[in-house]
Amino acid sequence: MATVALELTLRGGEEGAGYRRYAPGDLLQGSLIVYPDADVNCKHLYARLLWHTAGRGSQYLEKISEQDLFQGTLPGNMPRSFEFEFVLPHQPWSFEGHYVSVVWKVQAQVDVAWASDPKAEMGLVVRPSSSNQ
Amino acid sequence: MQVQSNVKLSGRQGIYLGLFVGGIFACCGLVSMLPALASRQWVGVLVGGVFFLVGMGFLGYAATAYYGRVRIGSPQLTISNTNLRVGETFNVNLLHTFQRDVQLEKILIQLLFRETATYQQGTDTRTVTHNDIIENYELPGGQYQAGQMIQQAYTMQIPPDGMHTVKVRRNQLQWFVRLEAGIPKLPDYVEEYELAVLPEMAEMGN
Repeated sequence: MATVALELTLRGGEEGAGYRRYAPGDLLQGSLIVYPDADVNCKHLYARLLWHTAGRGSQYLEKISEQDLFQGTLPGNMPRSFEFEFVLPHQPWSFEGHYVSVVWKVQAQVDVAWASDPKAEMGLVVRPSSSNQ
Repeated sequence: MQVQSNVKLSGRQGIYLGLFVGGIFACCGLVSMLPALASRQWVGVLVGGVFFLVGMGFLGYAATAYYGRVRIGSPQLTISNTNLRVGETFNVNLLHTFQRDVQLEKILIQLLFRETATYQQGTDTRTVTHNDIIENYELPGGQYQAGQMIQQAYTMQIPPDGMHTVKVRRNQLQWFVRLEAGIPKLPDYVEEYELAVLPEMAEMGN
């Protein structure tokens, strides 16, 4: 069975300590590089922008946007790059609390027929900077 | 300055809960105890009696909480704006005339940020809350006489690095102005007023 490696890269915003920070309403651009080690019949290649709660409470997840980047056969040993972009909504802002946190992510998923779907995720911070006051 | 009407959330909830739970337990206790007593089934009397006593305990709590509220009266808390932005300042005015002589341990006015998380544990649904006291003002306790008036004004601020209000299924982030008065030997008088904090930054000077 073919394996597919995914590499997500985000652009725009500001570089933080291990994450990228965007202001609400910003344009988030990114690229996804797909490395299949054999031919893969890709039903869909999704890039998603989503946020969810984390912490003690049951998780609430909201998908903000989804782009279908590719449908067809990904040839083996042939890396391919795909571009995507999302406009970030104005809320909720990223937050880390005692019991409740708000986490933003970009998720990539290869929808492969009759096999588990390879996924990659990258966190980001959505919050206006204090200097925007 | 815009004066908003306030949304009272808690305070009376303890009284209503005490009345509801106490009423159910006391009624169940009586219903099972009286027939058992008539037929001299002492186990039934014992079980019904325990239910009845638990119910009376809840009713007693509700009665003391209600009595405490009657002793204090209804303090008027006016908030200049209950639709706020992150970093925005607002004014809180406390105005109250005591109707009766009352001894108070303290009066607190607080700006609170509350996280509420609900989760499933087995078949139980549990809710936990965490309060962050952002600002705290305390009026001294002591003997307040009937007719005595207190009037205090406070300026509070949603911190510029704070979070806006979020309410989604099983997870909530909320802001409150909380008024608490401690009465010796009685449950505290507590009123909370929810603030809606919008996902916007206040401009400098607001």
